[in-house]
Amino acid sequence: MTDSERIALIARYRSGYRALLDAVAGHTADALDWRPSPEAWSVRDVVHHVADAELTGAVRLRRLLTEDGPFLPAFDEEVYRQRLGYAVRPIEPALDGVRAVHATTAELLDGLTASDWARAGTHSEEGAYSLERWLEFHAAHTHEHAAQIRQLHLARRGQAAPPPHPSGFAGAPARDR
Amino acid sequence: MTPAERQALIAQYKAGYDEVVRSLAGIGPDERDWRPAPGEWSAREVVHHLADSETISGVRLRRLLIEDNPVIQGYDEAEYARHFRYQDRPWEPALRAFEAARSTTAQLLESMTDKDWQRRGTHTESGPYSAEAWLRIYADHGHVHANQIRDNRAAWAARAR
Repeated sequence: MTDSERIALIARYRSGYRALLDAVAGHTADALDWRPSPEAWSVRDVVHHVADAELTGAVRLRRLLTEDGPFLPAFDEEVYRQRLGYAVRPIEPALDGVRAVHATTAELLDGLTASDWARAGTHSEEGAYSLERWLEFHAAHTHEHAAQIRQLHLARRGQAAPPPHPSGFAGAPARDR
Repeated sequence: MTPAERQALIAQYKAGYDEVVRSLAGIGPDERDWRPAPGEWSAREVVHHLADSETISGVRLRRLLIEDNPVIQGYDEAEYARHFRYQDRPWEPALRAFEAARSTTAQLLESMTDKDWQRRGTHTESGPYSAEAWLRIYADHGHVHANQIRDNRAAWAARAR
């Protein structure tokens, strides 16, 4: 990855919260809780998912930067959703959480050296997990879920098909782990 | 731990952010960055510590609730302070991260069942680590550091006199 590619991905990471907020903004409680099918994710689920995944990602980044070859346990997004009450929790703290964790983590990304970027750990399911892999994933992650929320809003109004998978990402490379 | 004891600790946990904000009220720029002794943290460093520590603790609680006997990795808070340049970074984002980690995690604490509270993992340094142990550790973590900030400020005032 070149320096300019990294800078572009860091900028993308920084803009994820705004995209998420814009996608959620202006929708009623009914819209937040609508699901295309019983097992599909609602907008509320998606927001809590992004908050937990980004919180987990922030801790992973800090571990990659301070431990030698840390072991990163997988994050099972569907178990999190079901066990942690995503369907019933208010979303404002989760949105604040995404904003705050992106702000503190972006401060770290800006100051990384070439040797920092070469660091890596081991993910329990993916295997080798480099800092650059982390950046590719997290630069896209919040934006992808913002797009999922926009599609849910359209599907609710009958203007688009619902996302193809409950979480929106079956088979996509950005599936959360 | 009885439900009443847990409720009291959860209430303390939820009050921790405001306690830290109160301890910082009216602090000046030099005072904020002043270290009372070599190797001790300034108020700015304490705030960054709270942001990282409470983010990590939020993930720990989630893992205790999700995974069966997760390994909870210890971390070196002094190394974090140096490596992540706590003394050089703005503190407003860190305060917001501390606040958000607590507010999202408090949502979880309030709906935990007796069975959830007995869930446990293994900490790499301290060994068995239950959800109740987590609550005991973090309930007063904000308050402890608010007191540290107040001590710093008292020492700063004494020094400047």
